[in-house]
Amino acid sequence: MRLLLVEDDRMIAESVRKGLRQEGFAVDWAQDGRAAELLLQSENFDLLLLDLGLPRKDGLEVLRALRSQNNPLPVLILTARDAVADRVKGLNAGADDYLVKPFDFDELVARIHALLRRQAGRGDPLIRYGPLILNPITHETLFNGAPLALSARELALLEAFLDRPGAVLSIAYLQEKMYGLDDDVGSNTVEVYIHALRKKLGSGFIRNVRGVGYMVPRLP
Amino acid sequence: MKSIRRALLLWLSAGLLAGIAVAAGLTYYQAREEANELFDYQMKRMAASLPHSAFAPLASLPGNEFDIEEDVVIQIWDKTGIPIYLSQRHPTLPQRAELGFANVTTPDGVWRVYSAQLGGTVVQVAQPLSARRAIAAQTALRMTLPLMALLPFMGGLIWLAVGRGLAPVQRIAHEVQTRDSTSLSPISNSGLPEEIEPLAHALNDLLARLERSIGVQRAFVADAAHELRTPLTALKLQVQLVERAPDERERKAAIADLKQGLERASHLVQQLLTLSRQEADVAESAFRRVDLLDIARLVVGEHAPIAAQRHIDLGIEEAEPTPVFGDFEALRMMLGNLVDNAVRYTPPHGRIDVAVSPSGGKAMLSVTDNGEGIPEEDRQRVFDRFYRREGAQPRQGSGLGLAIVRNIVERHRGEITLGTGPGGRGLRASVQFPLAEMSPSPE
Repeated sequence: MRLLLVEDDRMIAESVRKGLRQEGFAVDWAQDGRAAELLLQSENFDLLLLDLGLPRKDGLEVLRALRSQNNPLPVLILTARDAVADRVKGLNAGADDYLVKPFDFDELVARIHALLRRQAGRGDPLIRYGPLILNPITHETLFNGAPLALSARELALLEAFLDRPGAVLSIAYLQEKMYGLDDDVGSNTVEVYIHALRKKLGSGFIRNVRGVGYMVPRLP
Repeated sequence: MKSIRRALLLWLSAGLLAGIAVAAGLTYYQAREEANELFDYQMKRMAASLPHSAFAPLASLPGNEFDIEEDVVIQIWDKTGIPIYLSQRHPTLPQRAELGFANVTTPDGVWRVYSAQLGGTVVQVAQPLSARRAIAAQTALRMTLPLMALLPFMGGLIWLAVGRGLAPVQRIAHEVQTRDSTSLSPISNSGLPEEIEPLAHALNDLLARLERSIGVQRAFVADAAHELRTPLTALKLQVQLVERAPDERERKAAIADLKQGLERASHLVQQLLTLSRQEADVAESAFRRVDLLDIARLVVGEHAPIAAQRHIDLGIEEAEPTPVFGDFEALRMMLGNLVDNAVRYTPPHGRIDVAVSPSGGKAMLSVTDNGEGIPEEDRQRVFDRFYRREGAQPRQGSGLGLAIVRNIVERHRGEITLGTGPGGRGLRASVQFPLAEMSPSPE
């Protein structure tokens, strides 16, 4: 899952980024409103973490511009503005959730997962696919009832597939889901992780569509 | 406690009583004069109407013709001095008297005596003066009594009038008493008597000033609380990252971040404290003669290591002794903040000049750098608390440095202006203070 964090305070941004990476998210960081808009236009994100008091362009304006383009991207506002009127304003401008600083990191992670789950149209916090049960919050994975050890990257890749079963996903798309812009990505890294997943889940689990990409078939 | 109502009542009653007393006195004297004239005339008439040639002894007196009182004594003598008539004996009256009116003192009081020669007899009519005085006193009393009866009525009227006149004061007191501590809206002065209006006006003036200063304090606290959220958020996250660190290496890195976060938070708190202290401290008790040049040397010395680290050439350009009257520590903090800002915003290999000199009766101090400068439209707003310019490197400082500087400058009745350095580049902060006398200080 790839997130965009818009936050003008370097210390907060670095901490959030570090923590979310440990949780297996790919996180990009924009320091002001304009940089955020540029990134939103050029990249695909699964969720936006938005501060309101931003230099160059206010967070609410970024949000309004995004919604005026009918972009359904889940948006979680992170701000020091704690008045009820501010929260109402933020939610009415199109935010999906509102978290007041100083917030608890665990709560931030829980809210991110809740928003992503809602976006995927799932009610169940567990992702189930045949004999596979995946908990995106605790990262526990059960395969045929037995625990399965997966690295953070493998998990991110698996989630990207299970998010859209039946769809053929390009290497570029998968790469985007796994890595932020600043992450070092080797040329065939995605293939390496696909290979690792196939080894753990069986070779038929992820199928190659030549010249297009990879897919996990829709279950009957 | 003093009561306007009681005092007014007392003074007005006293005045009224004095007036009544004076009136009674005047009436008494006037009535006595009139009584004197009247009775003298009566005595004269009485004497004249007596028989011209009385023959002794007279059996009766035609006293019935006159309505004379008991205490009128009539005596008649013939020319040899033998009394031929005595209306009633009065042992102490003189036997003979001069003709005409006379006051004669007897052991029974003063008597008015009228003597007249009528043919061969001498007639004397006498009356005690106390009778006349009693009549005068009665007249005066008759006039005074109704006034005395009016007195309680007047008192009641005064009591009511003063009460009515002071009712607006009661109303204001009640209004002020029932409002809560946060309500500083002005007192309504409609219907106030003009004697009390200045009081309400002064009170409203005070309330307005109070509201302003409380507003400033509230804004400060709100700003401070808001600004503290950012470093606190960072700290909270940094602590949680330390807890979650998967291995020793990550934990060490997280702790290093946490230390930085703590440093930033304590710097902000320190600056907030400084600012609130500067805003509260209006006393000039700590003021004494200080030389700005000493301060400049000290501050430049303090910042030299950081400047050198960033390859910035920091030095004093103009260095003349410039005495001012002020608070040494505050002035040092002011210049420290200016130089600190210059070091922060000047790129490596830049140059910062501090200049100190007396000029035109003013103490001039300036800090000039050749960094980016500040666009003209932002030059006033940078003095606001927590103001950060758009496009400037976000959140490098606390956002309070220049607010502190301005406070200190204003406390020293100085002025600060921002302009550009030589050639329109960079930033020059110029401060001017009133110059202290050039005489060497006794220290």
